[in-house]
Amino acid sequence: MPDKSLSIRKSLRARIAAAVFTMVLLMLVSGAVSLYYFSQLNIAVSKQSEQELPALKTLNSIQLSITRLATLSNEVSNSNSPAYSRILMSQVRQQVEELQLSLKTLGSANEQIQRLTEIVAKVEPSVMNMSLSKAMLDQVEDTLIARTTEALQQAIEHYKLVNQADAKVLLDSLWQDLNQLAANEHLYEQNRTLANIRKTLASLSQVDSASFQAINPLISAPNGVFELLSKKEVYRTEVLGLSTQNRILLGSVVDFGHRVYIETEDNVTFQANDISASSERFIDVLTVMFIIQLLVALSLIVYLHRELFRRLQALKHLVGQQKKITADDVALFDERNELGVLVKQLQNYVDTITAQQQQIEATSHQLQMIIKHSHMKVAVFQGEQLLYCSESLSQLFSERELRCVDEFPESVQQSIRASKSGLKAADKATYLDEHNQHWYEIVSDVVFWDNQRADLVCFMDVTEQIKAEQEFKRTLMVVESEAKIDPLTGLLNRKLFDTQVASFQSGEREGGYAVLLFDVDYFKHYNDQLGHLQGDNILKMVASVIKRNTPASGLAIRYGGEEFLVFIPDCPERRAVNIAQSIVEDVYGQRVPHPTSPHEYLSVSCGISVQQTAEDAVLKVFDQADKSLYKAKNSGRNCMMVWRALHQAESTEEPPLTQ
Amino acid sequence: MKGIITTLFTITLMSANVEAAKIIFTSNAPELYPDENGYSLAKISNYVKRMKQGDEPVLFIHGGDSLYPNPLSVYDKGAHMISIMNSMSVDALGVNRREFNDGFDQISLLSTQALFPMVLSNLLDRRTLSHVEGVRPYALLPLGDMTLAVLMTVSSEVNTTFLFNQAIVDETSEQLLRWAEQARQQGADKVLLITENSYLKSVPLSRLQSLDIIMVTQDGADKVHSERPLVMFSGGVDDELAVIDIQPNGMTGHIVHVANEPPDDQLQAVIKRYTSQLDVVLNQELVTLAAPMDSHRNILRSEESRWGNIVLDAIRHYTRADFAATVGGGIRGYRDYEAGYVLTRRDVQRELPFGGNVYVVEVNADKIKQLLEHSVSRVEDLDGRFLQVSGLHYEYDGSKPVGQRIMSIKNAQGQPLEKGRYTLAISDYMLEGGDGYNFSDVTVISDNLSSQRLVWNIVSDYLEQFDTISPAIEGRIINRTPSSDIGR
Repeated sequence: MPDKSLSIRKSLRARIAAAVFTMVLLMLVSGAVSLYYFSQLNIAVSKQSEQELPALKTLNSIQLSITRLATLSNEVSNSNSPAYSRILMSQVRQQVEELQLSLKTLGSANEQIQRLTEIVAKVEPSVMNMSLSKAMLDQVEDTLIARTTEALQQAIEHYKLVNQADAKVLLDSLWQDLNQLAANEHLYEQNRTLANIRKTLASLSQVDSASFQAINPLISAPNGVFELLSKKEVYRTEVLGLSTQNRILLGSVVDFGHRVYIETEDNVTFQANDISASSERFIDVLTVMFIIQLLVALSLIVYLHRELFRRLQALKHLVGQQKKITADDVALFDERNELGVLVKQLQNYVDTITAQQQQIEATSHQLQMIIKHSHMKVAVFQGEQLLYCSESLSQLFSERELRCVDEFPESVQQSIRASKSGLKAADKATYLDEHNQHWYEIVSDVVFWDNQRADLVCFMDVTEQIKAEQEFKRTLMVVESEAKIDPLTGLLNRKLFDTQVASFQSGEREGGYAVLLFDVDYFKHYNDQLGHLQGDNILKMVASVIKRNTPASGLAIRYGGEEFLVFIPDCPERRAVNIAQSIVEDVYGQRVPHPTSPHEYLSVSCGISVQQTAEDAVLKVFDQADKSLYKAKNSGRNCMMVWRALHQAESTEEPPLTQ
Repeated sequence: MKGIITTLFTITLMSANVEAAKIIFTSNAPELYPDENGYSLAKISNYVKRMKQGDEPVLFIHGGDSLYPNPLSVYDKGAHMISIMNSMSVDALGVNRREFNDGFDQISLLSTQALFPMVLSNLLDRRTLSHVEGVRPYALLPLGDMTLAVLMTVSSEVNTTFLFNQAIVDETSEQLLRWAEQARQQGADKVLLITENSYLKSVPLSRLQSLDIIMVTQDGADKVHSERPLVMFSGGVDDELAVIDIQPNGMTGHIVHVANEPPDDQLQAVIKRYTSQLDVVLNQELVTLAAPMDSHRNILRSEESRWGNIVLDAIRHYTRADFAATVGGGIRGYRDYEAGYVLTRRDVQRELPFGGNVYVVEVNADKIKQLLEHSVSRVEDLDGRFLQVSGLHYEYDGSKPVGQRIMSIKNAQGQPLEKGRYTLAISDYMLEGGDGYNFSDVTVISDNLSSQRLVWNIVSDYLEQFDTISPAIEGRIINRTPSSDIGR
């Protein structure tokens, strides 16, 4: 089991599959991360739009309220009419209410907002106070103008009444100063005027008590010009002070607005940054994943290169060029993967082959040794070059110096080349050592000689063989001729007729062949009378006559006991008749007495048939000859009859010779 | 007509029977609230009123530099201080540099509300080429049987600190002396010049020998500098007042302390008109100090300050800039805080009375070097331009020539600055060219909204997020000047 898991782990297929699977997995993960990120982004964006943006809206309205309040407060401090001040104050209250409402929506839990609410609460009474002071100031100013006008009128009236020059001067001065008082913009100047008025009044009291009594209360008494002026200054500073304070309070509120706005903005920015950062992280993650995928792909290629392509290359090298696979070679391949297993097997094969090669080498070496130590006539060639020549072979060609093929006798050269080139099938290359009358057969074969491919040419002594062969041929001829010749007559026997003549075909020749069939007349009688030995002599005599008369191209055959056949190829009928007549006459001419023959002497009858058409088979012609012989016998014997196919009657054309 | 008035005056004066007179002087007193060191506007007011109720004729001359910096002025542009000065019966105000925090027109507006003349002798509005509307080149004030002429000169630095070249400042003595002569011709018996130290660098005292009294406004210990002419230094948020006794045979100056004076109820009421409803804002507690700290002028203008560190950290935190730097002159608490002290918004406003906004600019290391060199270019004078920093560490040697004083600049991690862009938070004052800083060549990258908040609000918000804070010296600014007597 561990081996199996190990092999799975080591398996190329498993590893490549694992790498591809990792890549696919990474792609899936990156896809999933993308989906997750986009959903998160969506949540963040919607959170921002639902929570932060309304807060910003509220802040905006707060800012607006504060601005309006500031404007209103300013207007209150500059208002000239009490009614207008009241209108402004109602607007101030409205703004304060709106402001507090907005603050409430922002959340009262916040300490800052609580404090701000507190400050805003102070704004209204403060503006109210300012408005009151302003109203007082307005009232004082009105009274002041009235008092000053009154004082001026009094001064003018008394100026008209008094006669004293001093009083007139003083009243004139007073009138001027009072006039100046209304026109004075600078308090400092106004104060100096007041000082003048005081001095003038003091002088007036000395000069004209009547006018002093009339004017002085208007100026110096309670609610006079002096007091009203100082009251005016008090109310003015009060309005100024409250206005300044309002500005400070509203300034704090404005600043708070800024602060919260900036904080909210920061918050929004932070969230945006967060989103941006997370998207950057996401991009980083994607990049990392991409890089990992790339690395996996690259390492897969590298791995494939290292584990597969390189090894395939090495394997190709091993298979193509190297003849031996060493342990180092095997180590290059991880023997536990498919390729390793393949190489391991290959190693086994190669080892086997190597072992066999070594065995072959050893064998060829042994062979070499055997050849060298034997008396075989052997030569080893590499190409044309003679590598080795056995001693017995060099003795064969002792008159020659043998170094290459060309230095062998011409006929041997041819034989060697023929045998080397593998043409030995046609003729067995032989060489006759005429001197010793020895026959050698030259055979060649490919051998490894000193680990090189070479041709082993062997001169095999076939003298005995050839002699035996010749003897056998001779014997065979004898046997064959014995089988064809009738032993008694020395003529060819019927077997030859059966095997050779019967199947003879005339071919394309002009003339057909002729069959002459002879039968010794009354031979049985002769034999019975004179004995078998005499009978054999008679047969010998007839045979020699037939032999004598048979042309060289013809065949003389003892067909049966006393029947003879002459077969003459290409023989016209006339010639056949002549030959037959010669034989019939020659036998009768021997004058061998026959005790029972009507012709006194031994005679023969003959039937002749000549092939009429090329189609006629020998047996047909023979049969016709046989029928003719029968006719001759019937015609008295010692005669001959020729076969006439159309006119059988004319066969007796030739009368028996003996008649 | 004039003759009659003169006659009347003569009668009045003769009846007053005056042998001697007093001039009370102060300046650089913008602080509304009393201080532990005895400073109190109400006490000063009480002293002045007490003196004025005496037999001797008394003039209370104010040397200015008091409308700003002050938290309320951020909102009402100094109106409340004019009201207060009215109540304190100020007889003349020398319009000093800081009065111009909101420009010429605001001074013109305020001049109508003042019960005293405003004086400035050597400055013209560039738009009109005349004196600032409502401000006179000299004022003639009756002092018993005498007439005192009051003149005021500022140095041209006002153009770099508040007016940004809107003013023409005459830094010679000629025109001044012509005004003085004119005043004498109009009956002035004594001529008093209010001026500032930096003016005296251009116009030395030797050229002002014809004047009777020279009051030098300053933020520090009052002192008599010389007797003839009588030169006195006076001013600051303290209990000191300069008093000049005029006798028939001569003048003497001395310093008066008002710490033990009862406060003037009337003035307190006036002040209250401006502050009565602000407690809800100003009394808000922000943070408890875990360690003591101080906001002394000499430290803020020459060394690393614990409080300065906190302020600058707050600014940097708010702007999220790489560095923050603002002038030490913008911090004006000049006080000590003990461990355990609970800082309130009031304290923060008092420390940062200019209000002001912050801007973020983009700078490179060279620009930072240039800014820091400018920072320490007048460190020996304890000039307000000295930068308190956050995110930066720097060392300087004040004994070196100007422009070669910065010895090293590092970031908060102690690494030298690299090339490239940095963001730097600065005050609006610096951006506009205040204290001679030049930001005309940099890009502002902060938005309008964030630049609308006041520095004290920024600092208060920063402090509010902590329960306690430990003011500490972190080695941000190291003074490598061999003789370390600068600012001591």
